[in-house]
Amino acid sequence: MEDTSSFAIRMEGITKRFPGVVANNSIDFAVRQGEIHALLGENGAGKTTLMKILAGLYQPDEGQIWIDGRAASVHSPRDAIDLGIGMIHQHFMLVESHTVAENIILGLDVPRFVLNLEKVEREIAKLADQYHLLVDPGARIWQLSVGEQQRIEILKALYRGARILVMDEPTAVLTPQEAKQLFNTLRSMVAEGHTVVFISHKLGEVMSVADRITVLRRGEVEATVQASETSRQDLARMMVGREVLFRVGKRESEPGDVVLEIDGLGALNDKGLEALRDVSLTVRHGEILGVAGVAGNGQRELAEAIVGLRPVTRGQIRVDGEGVTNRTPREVMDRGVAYIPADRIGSGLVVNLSVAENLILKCYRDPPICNWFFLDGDAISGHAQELVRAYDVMTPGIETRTRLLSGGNLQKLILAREISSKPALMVSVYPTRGLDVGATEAVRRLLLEQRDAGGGILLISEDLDELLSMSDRIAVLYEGRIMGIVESQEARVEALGLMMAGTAPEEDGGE
Amino acid sequence: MAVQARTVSVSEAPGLSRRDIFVTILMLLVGGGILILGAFGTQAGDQATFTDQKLGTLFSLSSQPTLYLMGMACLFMAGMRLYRGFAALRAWFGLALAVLAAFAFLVWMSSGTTLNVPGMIQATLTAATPLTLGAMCGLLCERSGIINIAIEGMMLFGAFAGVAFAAIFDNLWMGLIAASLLGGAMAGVHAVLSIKYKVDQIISGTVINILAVGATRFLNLRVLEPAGLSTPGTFDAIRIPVLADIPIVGPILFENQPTTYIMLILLVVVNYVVFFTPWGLRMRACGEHPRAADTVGVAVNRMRYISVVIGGLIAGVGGAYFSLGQVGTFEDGMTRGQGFVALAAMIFGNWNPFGAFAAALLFGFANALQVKMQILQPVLPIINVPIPPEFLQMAPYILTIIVVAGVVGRVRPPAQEGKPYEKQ
Amino acid sequence: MTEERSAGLAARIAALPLWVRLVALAVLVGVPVLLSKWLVLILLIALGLWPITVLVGLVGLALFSIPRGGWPWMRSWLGARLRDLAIPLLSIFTALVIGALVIMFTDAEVYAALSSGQIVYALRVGIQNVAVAYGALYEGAFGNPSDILEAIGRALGGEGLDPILRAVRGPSDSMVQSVPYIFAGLAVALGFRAGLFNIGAEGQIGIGWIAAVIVGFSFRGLPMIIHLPLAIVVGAIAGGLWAAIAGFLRARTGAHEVITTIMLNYISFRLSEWLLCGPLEFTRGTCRTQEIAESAYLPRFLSHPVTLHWGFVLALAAAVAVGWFLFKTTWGYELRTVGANPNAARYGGMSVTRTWVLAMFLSGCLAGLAGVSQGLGISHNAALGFQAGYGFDAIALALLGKSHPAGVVAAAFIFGVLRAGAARMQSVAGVPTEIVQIIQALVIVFIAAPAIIRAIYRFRERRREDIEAEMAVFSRGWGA
Repeated sequence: MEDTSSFAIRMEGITKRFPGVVANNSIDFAVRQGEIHALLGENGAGKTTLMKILAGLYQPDEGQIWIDGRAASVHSPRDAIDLGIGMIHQHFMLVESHTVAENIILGLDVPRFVLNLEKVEREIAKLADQYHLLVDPGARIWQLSVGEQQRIEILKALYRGARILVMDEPTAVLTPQEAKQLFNTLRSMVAEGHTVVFISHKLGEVMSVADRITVLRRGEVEATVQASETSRQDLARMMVGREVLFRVGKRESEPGDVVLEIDGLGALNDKGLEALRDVSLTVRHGEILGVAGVAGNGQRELAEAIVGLRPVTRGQIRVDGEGVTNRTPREVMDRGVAYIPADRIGSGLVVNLSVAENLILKCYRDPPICNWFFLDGDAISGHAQELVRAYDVMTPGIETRTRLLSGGNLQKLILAREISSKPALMVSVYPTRGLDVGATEAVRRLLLEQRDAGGGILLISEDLDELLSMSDRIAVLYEGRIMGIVESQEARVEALGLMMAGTAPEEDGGE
Repeated sequence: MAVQARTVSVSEAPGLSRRDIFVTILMLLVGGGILILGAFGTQAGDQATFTDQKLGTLFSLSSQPTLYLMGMACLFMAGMRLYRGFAALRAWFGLALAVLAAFAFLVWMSSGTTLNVPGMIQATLTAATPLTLGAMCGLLCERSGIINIAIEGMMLFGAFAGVAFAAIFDNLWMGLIAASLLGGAMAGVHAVLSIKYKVDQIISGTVINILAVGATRFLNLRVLEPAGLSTPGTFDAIRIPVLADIPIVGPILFENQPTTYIMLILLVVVNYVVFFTPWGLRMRACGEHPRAADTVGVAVNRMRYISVVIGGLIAGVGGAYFSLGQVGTFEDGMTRGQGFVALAAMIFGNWNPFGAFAAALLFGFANALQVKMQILQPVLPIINVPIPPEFLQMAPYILTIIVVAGVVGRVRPPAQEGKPYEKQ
Repeated sequence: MTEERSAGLAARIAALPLWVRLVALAVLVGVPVLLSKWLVLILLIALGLWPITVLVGLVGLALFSIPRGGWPWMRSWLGARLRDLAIPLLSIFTALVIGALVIMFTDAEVYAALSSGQIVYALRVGIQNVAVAYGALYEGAFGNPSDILEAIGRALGGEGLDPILRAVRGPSDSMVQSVPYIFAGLAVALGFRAGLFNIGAEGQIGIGWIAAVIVGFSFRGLPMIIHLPLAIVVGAIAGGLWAAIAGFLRARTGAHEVITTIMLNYISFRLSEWLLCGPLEFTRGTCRTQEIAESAYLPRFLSHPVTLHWGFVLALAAAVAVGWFLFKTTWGYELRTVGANPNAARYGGMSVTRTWVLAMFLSGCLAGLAGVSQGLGISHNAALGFQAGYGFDAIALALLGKSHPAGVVAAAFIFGVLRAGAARMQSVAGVPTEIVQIIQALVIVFIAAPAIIRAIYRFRERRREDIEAEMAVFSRGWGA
């Protein structure tokens, strides 16, 4: 191919196994000096693993790494730093209670005994100036926005003399404007001779910013291509391994009465900042309302406010005409609201309890499971057996601890429990995230069946394709506001993208 | 959980919080209490005389007017809070209140008699010594991410080793070193259990506490007493020439036991190392966000081992205070729960050395006051019963509960403490 | 198979008329109560002659196994039990071995011999010491088997029960010691199940103890049927309310229960010091309350020196009740769910905070009962320094018993044995009782870090999931 010395990074035959999975299977990966190289792939394709190997966080089981043409052994993050590799993780590695400067010099040997933060702060300010990264070196991390934190991560890498910058899903938490700013920064860095690798699963940004693209699928390299010589369709095909169907066949919806009515809703996030501002929407029986938006724009808070897990500061929520604003989760549930939380293990299931016990999480107070104050063991196991069979949950038995089940089966377990309560309204948040293709389809089919049976569904998703294929109408959430609601038949991806970026649709006059 | 704590410290919501109401009510109560003490607990014309051993009478106050004045000041502060809004001047109100209340109590107690002020302060400092040392042990462990409820056990081991080795080598200093080393060794056990074996850190700490009570008593009965090694004596106070001759300040600061000097030196050193060196920065990062520390090449677990063991070494010195500093022999469970008071001081001081020292002084003062009260036997006005010393001894524990419950100000522990760190 | 049969039995019982069921229940309870003296005697003898008991048990099991396929069935049954017990048993064994080494190497004679170079002699003395000490420990805990057999012979010969009573004193002491352990262990275990770390059992025991004793001596002349339950209930509720302070603070303000219970412990210690040496002191200078009225005594089954009292039955009943509560009631389900994942509990519509307060209250009630059983069953008063560390050992018990009531009872019995034996060991072999505390601490270490035991005995590493499940105790900071 080419002279190896022109490669900033060359990884050959990298294999990394985790218990039960081969995350990387003899991957060859090369990045040229001074290019922006995108690593594209679906969730679980092995992108992050490969980069963590490069950053010294994982040790490969097999394979060789060359940095700048020299064989390198990266046994620890420190080795990677010494080789000039700086990795910016998807979840920022910043100590919240420390200042920017403290975070940037963390782990460095230079000042040896005395922290001279003022000197460091001056240096940081200079460096920031050079790359147009505006930060206040004396600020504490928790005071900063996500975009600012990312800039600090970049500065942290640069301060350590990184010439190769690896970024894991850098735009996942950014608004399109911030993302654009980031790409400008990346370009100016490349112009200064740095090399950038960034991990993404978004075709658009990959096409617009990368010089070359490597596509990973199921732990293997699918192809490495020039961005100028490929198309989104090609990339999408390589990424998922089949033609992407943009509209799945589904029946026409037959919307009935309004099941959920939200009027002028406001709520705070965990940090006490306003997360929802004046959100109004309705969901009808037999209809799926999709909610699109970049993660962190109030989706989680919206779902939690509806099901009663988050206090509402303003506005009204009505289910089937009855007000449920600031009611307890129990009361909301009793009005026929089911909830599929984004965080399956964290809040949807009790993984240390058995499958049967998880299946009664929402009906343990009702007969026949509960008999006054006592639990009926036979009823519990009968209930569990029935649901496991009906929803095709793969489990060794109903007494098995839930933690032993796979991700797809965990999700089926939740769906089984929620759908079996015959809800009028189902709030489902990222229901297919992290699932394989088979499980994804099963989950989507169950949701559509629920809709056809007359249930209303609020589907919150980051995946525009999923929203377009599943929803009847799509609302776009941006910074806690509804930017617009469109019929999904008439929706164009570009228009949705604009709204997700905070631009109101033209009918409303625009901004 | 941590998120919740942070929320409170970040967003000081305007308006009335429960905490503000509580503090104001507390102020009104304290003010009222002082007035009652003044009205019913003292006679008109009583003098509270504060003395010094060398200088004689320092000053004397007419107790009744003084108490009235201070009670009014307290009520005035409460009124000001009500009038000016709660957000104003929050930080020093609590401190001012504590000082006022303590001083008023002293005036009332010594009304009609005399009180040796420097003696009282020195007793406070002495009582604060093991508490501060223990708190620094806890601080080093917890700042690096390891919960340590075994301060008590480490101190008890230290107290024991101090006696044993001081008697074996016939040298108190050897005892002090041995005390420190055994404290460090026990901390090492805690570290290995909680870092290598990922035992729940509270369980691991409990083990050390149980082991300390059992093992020291066992060894004392079976080895030390039969071998006649149980009475090595106590340290004499070391008098620093010249400085100790400064009036008032001299005897307080420069005529102390070695453990007190060690405590004061360590206080400065620990504070400096933890907050003003790269090492301290890394150590704190290990407690706040170990993964972040790891990604920049900090060996998290090694850092934790080092911090915990150093903490144990310090706790051992604190233990030696009980045996070699106070009693001169080993008694069963002689740390009497002071290790937990040290833990309380650490929390009270918000995981800061000087904060912990201030808390330790407060608790030490309660202790000194209690000793004094057993001599003076002041009788509470109106109900006419003497104050049981046990109630003053409870004060540190009650105050700690109030503080962790967040009723008067929030403390924030390191975010990731208690969680074993696993490399991916 | 057995399940089906028992289900059939349950259905048949349910089909009976109510009065028949009530009568059957009355008979089932009444007969053992009437025969309690004899039943307890048999139990104590069986314990004292435990090798014979085990043998009888095995024979019974063999008979039971015949219709189920004989030896293969029996082997798999025993294998399953032993696999679960391997780590706990090896932990105890290892701790005992280390305890023996400690006894050996803290002996002056051994050192004298070693320093004069007589290594073999030193070893012999050391081993002899250990044998004497552990022999005394055994005898203190299980009695002397030959004495028991002889006493049975003499009793059959018409000499009355007294020799037997003297001979089974050891087993009785073990059981007596295990009573507070069962209660306290259940208290901590219940807390664990709710995700709460109740370190404050020690203080709750004291509060329950004093409260029960106060009721015991203040109401003289009440009939026993009112007085005794009143004292028990008041003691339990006092302990419960004391613990509920921590639960309430956790629920309302997020204050971590580890800190609040530690602090409540010391507050309760000072409080009881004040009470016992102050208002409640009966004879000046003793720091002890007066004796409780006889109507508040927990009655004993047999006469001196067998001190086993009805608190033992109460403790077993509490264990059954806790098991039933945890696994068969909605509140128990809520409690376990909150303990395993509070987020999911909230999502399932449970009130996490209410559950915390309730769990802490119940945990405190159980701890309070530990104090009650000691105050009304053994000491009949409250004296300074009376808690004796039951509350701290209880943490070990809950761990050892994997927070399961049956496990806790078994663990409590083992600790009771150690404690009962230690007293005799001290008087006979001169080894301080504190060796037991050292052994207990080691047991906790090994149980909490099974990797150590696996390393020592070269166990096969278990499946990752099992280990994870094992680790899933409470690894969290005590933030807010």
